[in-house]
Amino acid sequence: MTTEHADAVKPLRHYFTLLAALLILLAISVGSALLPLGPFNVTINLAVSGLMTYLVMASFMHETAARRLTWLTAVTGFIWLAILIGLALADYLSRSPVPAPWH
Amino acid sequence: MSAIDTAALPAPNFLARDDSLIAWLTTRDHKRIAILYTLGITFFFFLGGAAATLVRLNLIEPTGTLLSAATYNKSFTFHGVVMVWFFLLPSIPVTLGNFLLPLMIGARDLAFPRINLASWYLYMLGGLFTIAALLAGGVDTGWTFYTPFSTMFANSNVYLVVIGVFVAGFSTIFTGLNFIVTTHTMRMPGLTWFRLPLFVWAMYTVSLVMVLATPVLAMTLALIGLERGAGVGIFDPALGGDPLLFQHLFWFYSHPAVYIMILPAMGVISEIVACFARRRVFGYTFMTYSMLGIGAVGFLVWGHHMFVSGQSLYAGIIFSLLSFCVAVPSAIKVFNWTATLHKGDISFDAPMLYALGFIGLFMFGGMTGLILAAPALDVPLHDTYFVIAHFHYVMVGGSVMAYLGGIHYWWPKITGRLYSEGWARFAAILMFFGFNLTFFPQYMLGYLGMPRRYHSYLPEYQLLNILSSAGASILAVAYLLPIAYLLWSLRYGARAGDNPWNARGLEWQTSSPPPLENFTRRPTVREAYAYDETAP
Amino acid sequence: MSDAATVAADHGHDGIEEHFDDASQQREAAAFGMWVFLATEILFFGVLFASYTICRVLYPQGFAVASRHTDLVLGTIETVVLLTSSTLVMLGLRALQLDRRRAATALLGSTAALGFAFLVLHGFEYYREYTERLIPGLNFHQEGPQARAVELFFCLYYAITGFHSLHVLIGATLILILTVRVARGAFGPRRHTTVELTALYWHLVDIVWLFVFPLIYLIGRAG
Repeated sequence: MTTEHADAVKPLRHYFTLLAALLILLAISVGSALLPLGPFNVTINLAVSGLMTYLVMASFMHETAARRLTWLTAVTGFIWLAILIGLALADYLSRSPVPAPWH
Repeated sequence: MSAIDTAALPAPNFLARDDSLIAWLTTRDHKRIAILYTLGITFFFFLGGAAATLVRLNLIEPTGTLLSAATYNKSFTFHGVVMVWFFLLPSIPVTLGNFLLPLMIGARDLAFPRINLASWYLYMLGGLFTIAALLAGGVDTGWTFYTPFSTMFANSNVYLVVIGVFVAGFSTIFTGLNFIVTTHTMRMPGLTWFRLPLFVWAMYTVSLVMVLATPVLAMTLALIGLERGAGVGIFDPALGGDPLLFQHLFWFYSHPAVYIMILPAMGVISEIVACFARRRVFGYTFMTYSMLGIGAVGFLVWGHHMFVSGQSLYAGIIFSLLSFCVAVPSAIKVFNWTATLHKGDISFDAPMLYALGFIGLFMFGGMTGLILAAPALDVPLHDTYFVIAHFHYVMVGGSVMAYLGGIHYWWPKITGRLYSEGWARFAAILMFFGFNLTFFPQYMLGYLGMPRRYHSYLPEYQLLNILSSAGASILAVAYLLPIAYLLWSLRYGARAGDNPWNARGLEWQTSSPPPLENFTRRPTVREAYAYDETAP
Repeated sequence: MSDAATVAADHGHDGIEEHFDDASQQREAAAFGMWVFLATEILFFGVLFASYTICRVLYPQGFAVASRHTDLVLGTIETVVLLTSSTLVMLGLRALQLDRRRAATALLGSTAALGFAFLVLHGFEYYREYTERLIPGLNFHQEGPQARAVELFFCLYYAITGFHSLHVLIGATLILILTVRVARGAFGPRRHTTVELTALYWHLVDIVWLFVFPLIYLIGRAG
């Protein structure tokens, strides 16, 4: 494990590029939301969010001299959330509606 | 701790240094924190047991005249809440885990000692809120807090209990976080992952489950509070919300929670069986992967609590299949313990008696879990005493016996004293007998159709209920006996040497009790369970 | 073989805790501990995202109607604010690594300020929703066939943004405290783990918002 001052300091340019990229992605997300793209709207939005998340995490992980373990920790959190959403949706999406007798 | 004659113990040990109350309450020593936790755990065990006593006394009569229906509901709710969150879930990890994890990896303490102390304070604070709920009149929702009852119709003491459990949940998260980081970063040089004792693997695996599951409980409880208090509700059908959503969220946590209860027990059993059969644990690698498998697959099965709730049939089938799968690693472990015992040089000391009891009762309870995992069988058995018998077999016949086995096994190491082996064996056997008399009739009651959480029942169930309550009285005695002879040993018990069981493992390479920094000489790392080598 | 040397570590006053072998182990443990904590936060907020997903699957049109009641402009500005603050905190850490104390103080202070600005903007949102009678349990009253789903949406909206704002408040406060400590010279090129870990927490708060924003503000905006 590297010690603190062994991390290479990145030039300022790197951070401005990162911010610019994030803001452009935000513009894409908001802009595409104004267009009628049906189910692709939410797909694009979430894909953009995912990409922005990756950029923030990768950029920051570089700062702390990342290890596979930290990536695994973060990814595990997301996978477990996917389990919760996925299996719960499996219930909701496969229910046959039983209308009340008076309907 | 003047009950222990610390002057007679090898100095300098962690008990003898600075004996004041303030020193204990501000300690950062994982060993002292483990003892602080043991006091809390024991207190809540008997508190939950008192609630159970009320329940079983009421059930002697079919008309349930001892308690009113409302009081009965509050009794089983309190029993469940206290036993699940303030006894079973923390038990082995916060007592034995806290004490032993650093010792077993050759470390001086856990990674975050202050967070460890904070976790104890959170645990006690959570317990205080729960007791406050009791004093305010109690809660009658059942430990499962199903909506819409908990969010709309139950009395407002629900807030106090929900806060108590929420706070205790953070105690669990802190403990789990501490154990994970400690195991990854503080193993002594040469101690690779596959040289670790299975108890350490168990603590590590259970910590993974703790940190992934408990946050979900925390938010779900917060949502109960929000819906009840602020009308901000997603479980309310009038709004288009779904009460079943609560059940999904609740059981996503609460099913892995039962694996949080059993995994540490499995770790303890592996240690005890190896030592008292004088053999390496059979299939060590399978044992480690099985624990990880139980921890992971355990997150995929929660819908088996909801087969009859209105959940879709197809989801039910998926959950049922996955529930069958999760039994496989557990079975592998039972086979491996049995293989370890085979041709072993077995001595029937109290820890081994508890371990043998565990293996039989856990297996039995586990198999009845498979029965419940089949949706067709669950339809008549859901919410009957069959379910109650099932989970008490695995949690009480399993986890509690393993906890007591572990307490007895490591008692000499923790306190430097030997307990009375005769009394301990008697208590273990009495407990096995009392346990089966209490809970086996409940399988039959469930099969015959007696519903759970009812304060009265049909007269034809009375004989089995009386047998069960009689068994409970024997069980109560069996639980009180260790309190007596263990406390007695603190003052009058014979001095224990470093390694009275001639066991393997780093914790036995230091004095009993250990010094403050755990080791005065660097311990020797070798393969786990080197029982075929003569010197420890 | 076991040697007779003591294993008690005597670190004196070099900032390493007794139970660690060396600074590298301490730092590794602290960083890993923070990442494990962040994983728990993903699951903590995840409950709200899961609930949202299920409710939206059940009521897609209602959610679209409801989302149009949220303030897209304010929401977008809030996103820009948080993204900028994440960048600034990274720059502040960089300044610490380069031993530029005044720059670090200014950058971290700006991060905290942006955090508080986020809360103020959100406050304006809440106020506007109050005047439009969109707060369940308080004054919710909407007309139309989707009214129930709109109320459900706003229940989720307040739960999600409420917990998120709480985390923003905690994060901004911590960064403010750190700003003061940085100004007093408590951290430097060799000692800034606490700032690093707090910045990690701040990034998590940002990342949660990156998912909250499209799910709350960007449904049904087309045409």
